[in-house]
Amino acid sequence: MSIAAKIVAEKIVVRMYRNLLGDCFLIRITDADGTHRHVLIDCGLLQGLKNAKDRMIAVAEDIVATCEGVIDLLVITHEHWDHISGFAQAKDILLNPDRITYRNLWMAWTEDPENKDAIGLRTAFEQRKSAVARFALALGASATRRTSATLVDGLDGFIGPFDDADGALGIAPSGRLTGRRILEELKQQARNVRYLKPGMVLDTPTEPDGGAALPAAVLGPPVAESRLFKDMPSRGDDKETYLDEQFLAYSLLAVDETQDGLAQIDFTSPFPQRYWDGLQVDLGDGDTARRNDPRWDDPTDPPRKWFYDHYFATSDDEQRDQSFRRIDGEWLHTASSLALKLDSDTNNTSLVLAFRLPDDNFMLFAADAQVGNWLSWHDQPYDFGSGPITAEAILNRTRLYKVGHHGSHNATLRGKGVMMMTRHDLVAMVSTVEDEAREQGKSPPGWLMPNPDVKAALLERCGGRLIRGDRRWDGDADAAAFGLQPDFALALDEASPLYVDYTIYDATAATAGGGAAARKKPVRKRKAA
Amino acid sequence: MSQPGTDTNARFKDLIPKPSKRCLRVYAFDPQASLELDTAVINDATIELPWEESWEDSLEQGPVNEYIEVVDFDPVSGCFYAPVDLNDPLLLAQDGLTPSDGSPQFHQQMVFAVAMKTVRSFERALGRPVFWTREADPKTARSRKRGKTGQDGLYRSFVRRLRIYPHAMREPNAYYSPQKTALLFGYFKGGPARDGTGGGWVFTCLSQDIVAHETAHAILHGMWPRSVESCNCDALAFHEAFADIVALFQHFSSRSVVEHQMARSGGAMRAVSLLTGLAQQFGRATGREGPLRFALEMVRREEEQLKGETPLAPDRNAGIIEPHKRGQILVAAVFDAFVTIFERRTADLFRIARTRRGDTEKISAGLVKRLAIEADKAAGQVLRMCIRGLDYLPPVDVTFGEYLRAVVTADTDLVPDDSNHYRTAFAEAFRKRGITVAGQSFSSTESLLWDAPEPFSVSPDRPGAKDSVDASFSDLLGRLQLNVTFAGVERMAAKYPELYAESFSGAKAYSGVKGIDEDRVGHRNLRDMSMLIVRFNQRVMHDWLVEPDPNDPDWEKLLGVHLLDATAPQTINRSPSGRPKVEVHSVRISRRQGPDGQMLQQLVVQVTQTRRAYFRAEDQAQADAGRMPGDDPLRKDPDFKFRGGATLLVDLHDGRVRRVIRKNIRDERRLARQRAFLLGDPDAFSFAGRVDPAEHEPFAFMHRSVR
Repeated sequence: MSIAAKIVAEKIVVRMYRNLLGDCFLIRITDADGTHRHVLIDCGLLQGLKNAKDRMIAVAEDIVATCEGVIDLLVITHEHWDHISGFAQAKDILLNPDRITYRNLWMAWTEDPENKDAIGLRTAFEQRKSAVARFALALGASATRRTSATLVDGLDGFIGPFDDADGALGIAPSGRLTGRRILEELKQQARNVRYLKPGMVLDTPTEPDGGAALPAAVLGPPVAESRLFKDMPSRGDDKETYLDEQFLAYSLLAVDETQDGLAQIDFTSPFPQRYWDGLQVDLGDGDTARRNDPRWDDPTDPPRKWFYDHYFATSDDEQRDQSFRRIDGEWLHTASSLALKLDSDTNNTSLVLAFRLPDDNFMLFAADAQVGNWLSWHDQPYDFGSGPITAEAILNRTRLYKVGHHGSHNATLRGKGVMMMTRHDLVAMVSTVEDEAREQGKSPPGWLMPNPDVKAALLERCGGRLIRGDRRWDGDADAAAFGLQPDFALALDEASPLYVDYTIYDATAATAGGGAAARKKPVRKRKAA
Repeated sequence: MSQPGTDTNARFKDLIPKPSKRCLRVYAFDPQASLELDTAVINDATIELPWEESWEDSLEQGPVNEYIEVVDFDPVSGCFYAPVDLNDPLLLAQDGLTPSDGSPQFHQQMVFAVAMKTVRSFERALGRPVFWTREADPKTARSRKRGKTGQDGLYRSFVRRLRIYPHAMREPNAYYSPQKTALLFGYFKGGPARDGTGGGWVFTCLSQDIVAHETAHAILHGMWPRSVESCNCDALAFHEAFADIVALFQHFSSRSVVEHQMARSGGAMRAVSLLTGLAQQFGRATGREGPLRFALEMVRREEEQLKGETPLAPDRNAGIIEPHKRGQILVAAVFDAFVTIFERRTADLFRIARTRRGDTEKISAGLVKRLAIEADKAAGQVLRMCIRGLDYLPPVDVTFGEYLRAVVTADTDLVPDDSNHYRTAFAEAFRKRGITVAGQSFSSTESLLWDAPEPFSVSPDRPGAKDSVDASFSDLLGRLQLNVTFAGVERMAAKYPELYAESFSGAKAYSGVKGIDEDRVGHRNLRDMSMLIVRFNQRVMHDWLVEPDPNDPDWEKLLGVHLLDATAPQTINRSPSGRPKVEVHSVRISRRQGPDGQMLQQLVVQVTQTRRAYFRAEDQAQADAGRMPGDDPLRKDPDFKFRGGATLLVDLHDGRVRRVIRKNIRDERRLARQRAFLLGDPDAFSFAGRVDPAEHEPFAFMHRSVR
């Protein structure tokens, strides 16, 4: 595919909306004649955070004001709540055709309604999601029996709300997710939708009135299943046979549909009642099974007494503690594990784009790509019109890296990833709120976003030019350790509390992040110890 | 229990001898095998357990006995299933309940019988009783105030009985939970196989393989507490492999099954059969055409590859890291060794019978019987070799190569003459799988033996240092309790009253000791006794070890730990006395008899030490030197724990240390390796990220989340 942009952009600014544990990036491309083009990449934040709606409405208002109601290109990287929630929370703005128009929409091939593999994949994902979601719903519906049953880490945070939760777009069959319907709605509203496959190289659209375009290479998501379902690194010929097991496991969450369409878990014992007659935990009282139930301590009823002595009593007949051996909630762990796996798999379907800047360098938007996705970038060449180049060449020439998955542990590849980003003027942007991330998850330390190792490696690679969503670069002690960076500071605009602007390219100003100045050896002084 | 006529016969009760064994009916494999004509004939099996001894707790309903308590709670259904009473005369008269997957009481019986059979086969090989232990919950351990007992070292709580929940969850899984000291078995609705069979409820507690596998996890954890830590890619894989090996070799003790399979295969062991697969029904119900795991799958694939003239890469297995899959390498090696041994043992039988292995037409009933006997013998020997090797493993950070050394050394110490070439078979099978021993040329089995300790240095500038040039425990042996008798109780109680109180907080204690409630006296339990002795010896050994001694530098070298404050890095915690903390994990006496009647009496001692460790080398250096600022959160909460120490084998005849298996706490290369392992692939950053609940239970039969 030959790309020859007739009009060259003069200035490119990347805006990262701040204080979102989620992604929302607005790229503004300005021509010599002052025309602007706007590319919006994702818009969302993690489920369950405080003031989510107000935060997203403020962001949405700014987007509409900045782009004057027209987004030339909307990129939705993947179907995770922290990348799309804005379209639900601020739907009166972002899904309101009177206020905003999406001229084009790019999505990964996995969203293509006509691609057979994609349909299969989506169906499988949908089934799993709805299995997990229905499990959670059914659990909620059986609250009287299981109030104390806590679902562990991450069942709902990234999947987004289930349909009967508030914030949904409308009424749909129970158990289906709003995330999916946001995508469907966007497909409807966008005038032109394209589904991208790895290896494609295409211009950002400039229709209807022309202007500067940025050529973009599609690096991911991979087409090969082995890459798609790989969330953790491994070496060698480790045959990925677990897929079947996974699918099966989801189907085994034992959720049945009742006649009125409600999800329900079948709690009935497989054995005839004569084996458990009079030995049922009292289900009317939710917490019974968790407490030391004195009603079972009844010498007149020997079987119940036996189970009291051997299960409910805090210590056994030899006064040894036995409370640690109870298993009341153990069976719920399956659902939690499956939810985590589902999360990783969805992350791997992230659409990854590398935009070529006019100076022939790149901006890499990695979305939430995990190991398999990263590795797959190297599976195909990319042709920008002057012969194929490798993913390595793109990484070598990357000047801006949108850090994967808010800086988490498994979304930035070291060897075939960040170590190949060798430019001395590399800048990284990480959309995270470290404190909020730490509150996620079941136990300390919570989620580490950014992960300390990833952060250290990025700071090292970028010489301190790590822009974070949750703090100002000017004043970040981590960055300060690398010394003053006058050129970089000038390209950075941190005045707004809502967003940070970074001018990645400016043909007119020598002080911008790009251009002549950036080719000089940057200042990389470590603070004197 | 109602026994008509009991009263009138009470005076003559003693005339009835105690039965020698208790028979319990079980499925030889699992319920599915009963549905198929071909296997139905052999699927009804009986497990014979020795009748309870007088010094053991009696068998009660549940079943609950000395070792195990089955508590049948099904939390998903919110039901308890009435406990079976195996002493009911009606059940005694018919060897327990008839196999049936529709009766939860039969489930209780079978899970109990199989678990006890596994316990007994371990005790036979180890020459000492099996104990259970409880792993502290990492979270509560962190939050709980340290040093609750005020003692150096950590004495993990022994748990008297392994608890078994036959219906703990609804999922295709089963696991041993180290924190609950319990086996949890799941059940699920299986998918029908491709031929349309199956599709009903599948109970993991009705699969002999799964029960034996999980029980083996529990036993292994009980005898070797640090084994549940994942500090290299082999550690958890070893646990899985060992559990599979135990389950696999138990197949061969069922004579009728082995005969059936030998007749079908013409005496060939290297064929797909019921004997070589694990968890048939489970495998089919979860969408596989056959069993979940095949012992010989790897061997077979390799042979096919060789036939196709594809060379086998020596490091072809290096990339397999998921514990179950990695464990299969070890299972394949051990099974290959077993098959080689079996074939050697039976080659002459085929010559005598003038037939050839694999010829199913000409094989006679007599030959089949002999083959089954040989298979049982060989399987028993190989399993015992495998179990004995456990005592010769390093206390932490075990690798497959070290396990090979352990098996070979343990066997050499007991059976000096390898006339049947068992050890050679092991070494060859391991080498074929690419399991290497670091720093060994691997050309002879002798080179695999663990070293004898280095002689102590005799130095004139250390006054008081012993002239003895060998590490010796002779002065310690006098203080230890070396016999399991009831005679030493008072001595032990006098020395460590709090230890005594802890061990016998229960109702069943010993008479003649001050401060013990008379109500609790009267029951003498030998296993409780052994447990007390182990703990007593641990304590004595620990106190002896931390006593200042002029030979301390030699002991440091020998044990691979720090005993002296001056030289120890600051990342090793100090005891109140100011000396570096050490833990004594196990002081066990093992008495084994070799085939020639020679007795091997050994003291197995495990000493370990913990060092705070960090992902960044700079942090490590700073912390080691004690320069990490006091307010740095990393100081209190290090990235991970690095452990070192040694297993010592002491000859009880003279107190000399015969073997030392060491993992030095100051081995910086090993530290770097562990760091790299914990950080994952060199390609990636650490995975110390979100907490996956699956990781709380490292021994799930199926991994709940796949990395």
